[in-house]
Amino acid sequence: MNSIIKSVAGGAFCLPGNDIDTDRIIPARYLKCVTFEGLGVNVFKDDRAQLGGKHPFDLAENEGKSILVVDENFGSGSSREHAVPALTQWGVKAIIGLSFAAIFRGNAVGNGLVCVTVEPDVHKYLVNEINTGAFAVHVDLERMVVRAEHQWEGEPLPCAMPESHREMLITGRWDSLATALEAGNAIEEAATKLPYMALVAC
Amino acid sequence: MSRNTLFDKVWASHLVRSLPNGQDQILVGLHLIHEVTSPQAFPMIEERGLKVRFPHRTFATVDHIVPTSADGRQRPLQDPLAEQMLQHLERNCAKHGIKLFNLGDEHQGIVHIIGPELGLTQPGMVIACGDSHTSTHGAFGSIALGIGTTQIASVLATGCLLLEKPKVRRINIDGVLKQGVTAKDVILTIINKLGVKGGIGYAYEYAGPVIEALEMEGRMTICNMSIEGGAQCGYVNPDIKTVNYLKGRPYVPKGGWENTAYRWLEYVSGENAVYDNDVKFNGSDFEPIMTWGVTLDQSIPVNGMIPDDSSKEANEAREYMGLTVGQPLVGVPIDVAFIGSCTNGRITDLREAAAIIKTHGLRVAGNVKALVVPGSEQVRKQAESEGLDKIFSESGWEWRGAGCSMCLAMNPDKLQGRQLCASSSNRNFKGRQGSPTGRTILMSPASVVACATQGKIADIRQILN
Ligand code: SF4
Repeated sequence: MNSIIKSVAGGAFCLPGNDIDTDRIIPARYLKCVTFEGLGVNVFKDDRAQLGGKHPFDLAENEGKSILVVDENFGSGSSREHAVPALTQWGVKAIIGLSFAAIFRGNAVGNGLVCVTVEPDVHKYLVNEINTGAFAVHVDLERMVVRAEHQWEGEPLPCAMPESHREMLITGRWDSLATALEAGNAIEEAATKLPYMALVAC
Repeated sequence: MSRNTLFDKVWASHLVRSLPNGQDQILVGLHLIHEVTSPQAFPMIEERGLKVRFPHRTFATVDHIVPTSADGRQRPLQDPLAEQMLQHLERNCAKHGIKLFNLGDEHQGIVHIIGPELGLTQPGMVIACGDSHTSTHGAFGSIALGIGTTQIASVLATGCLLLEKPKVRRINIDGVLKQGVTAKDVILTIINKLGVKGGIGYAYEYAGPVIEALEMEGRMTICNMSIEGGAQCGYVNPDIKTVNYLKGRPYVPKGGWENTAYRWLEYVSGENAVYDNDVKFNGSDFEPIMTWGVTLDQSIPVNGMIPDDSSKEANEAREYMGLTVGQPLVGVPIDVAFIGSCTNGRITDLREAAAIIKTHGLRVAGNVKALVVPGSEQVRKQAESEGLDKIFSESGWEWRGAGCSMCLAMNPDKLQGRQLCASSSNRNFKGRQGSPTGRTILMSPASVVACATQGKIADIRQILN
């Protein structure tokens, strides 16, 4: 059993651009490791170096923020799970985007990182709210809404995630290994029906 | 919802149970692991006191971090971090009874090359590997999934994955490929047309006369890059070529051969199969194609011009690549040429490249560093027995040992500074080939030969004609 995640709230910031791949999130040279520790400092390393302090992950105003708003196809490319701890160790707790690459999304839920999608109009609205001083964004997984908060409470707008991911997070069962283990002997039974499962080194 | 496709049949035969949340628990019958994504997975299962559930169906190799030059392959590896990763893999495999095709083993190589080569990959399997290009194995009519490290731990300990069944899209390619157009051009064209996110939520079935006419290794090139189009996996229905390719390989059963082959072919999508989506292309229209930007759909036919696209992505890509709107791709100077990777590092890729070099008496241009890296030690041996290594080295190419090499920046083969590489690999992402400002133009191995010869982006058809 993991912790139950029913909602996430925090300061929000935007990382514009479609197709931000996992090679950019964590360049391959930082995959030379045997644990996931210490990845956070190198998140977006090369993109940040190129922008000389102006990358959203470097701006002083974004320090301590935890809700990231991205565009389309975030996390595409390499399956490297390292991308998820790199983001969470920096402080990201939830990502709101137009779409996510499938493997990244699976890796995220396995680490309790919330990824929700929103429709383009909601996305545009959120980006605008954040750029005009909303101090927090609230992602509510029970009602599946996002809210931008100013001094007043913003309007709840719909967001989405695969129902199975939502259920895993709000019940604290995002440990898929534990769930798979519960099948017990049914696993071996399924295996005996497949002749190739008996194949060993020739 | 799709029905009676190969995907449906293989999925159903590996279903352990369906969960109330809509996920299916699917048995993974072949688990491949490598040094980059597995070291964190073993502690995840050991902390819970769990063992590897099906060690005899789990196989490992080392590919990403291995140096490809002869002296770099001595142990301990010069890079202490690489050596540490390899030692972890060795220790994990020894402890859990997993067969490792280690550095120095005659079967070491890129995981997606050695699976088919050893006959580990077979029709009707569910295959998983902590690597996005696992989709390669779909060329044999299997469901082949790239997974993350947490999922690797799940497959190690339970032999299973919890998955939502994707939709199935059939991509039918009619016609006949023209001269100079290869399997690589086919998949780059498909990605160009459907986009890098077009495949999200889908498994791709590649079908039609063009796919049927391709040999197994071309089909692998196509399935390999399914992930670059956003698809969860890609596959081709097995046929007589699939069966012939596998016959006699080390892990293919020798007894009861006909039954085995018959069983494989039973997985073929039925005539009454229903797809969630159908897409048709005419392959006769395809041309040699190359990427010009930093995502896989930023591509144009080789004789095209950098498109007038004012999107933020296109602007950024042009700036990164140092290209301008309306500029022809042909003629852009290159610094490095690379033939290799799990996309195009197989024996037929090397044969095709060598044949072009030999027939037309080509030499690498003086300003170009050119590298040929066989995808596996078996490919290297085979190529050397056919004298391909000599054709390459006598015409200015460096001939190396097996590994991922310049496909990504985890071993000594790297671009320097803003070098531009004509590459047969699969990703043109910023920094992918090892320099944070390095530039990549993706293309077929034949096109890489054309570019290496001229020292600039060139149209292979001008050499062939
Ligand atoms: S050759 Fe490239 S894409 Fe293929 S497994 Fe190696 S690093 Fe990954």
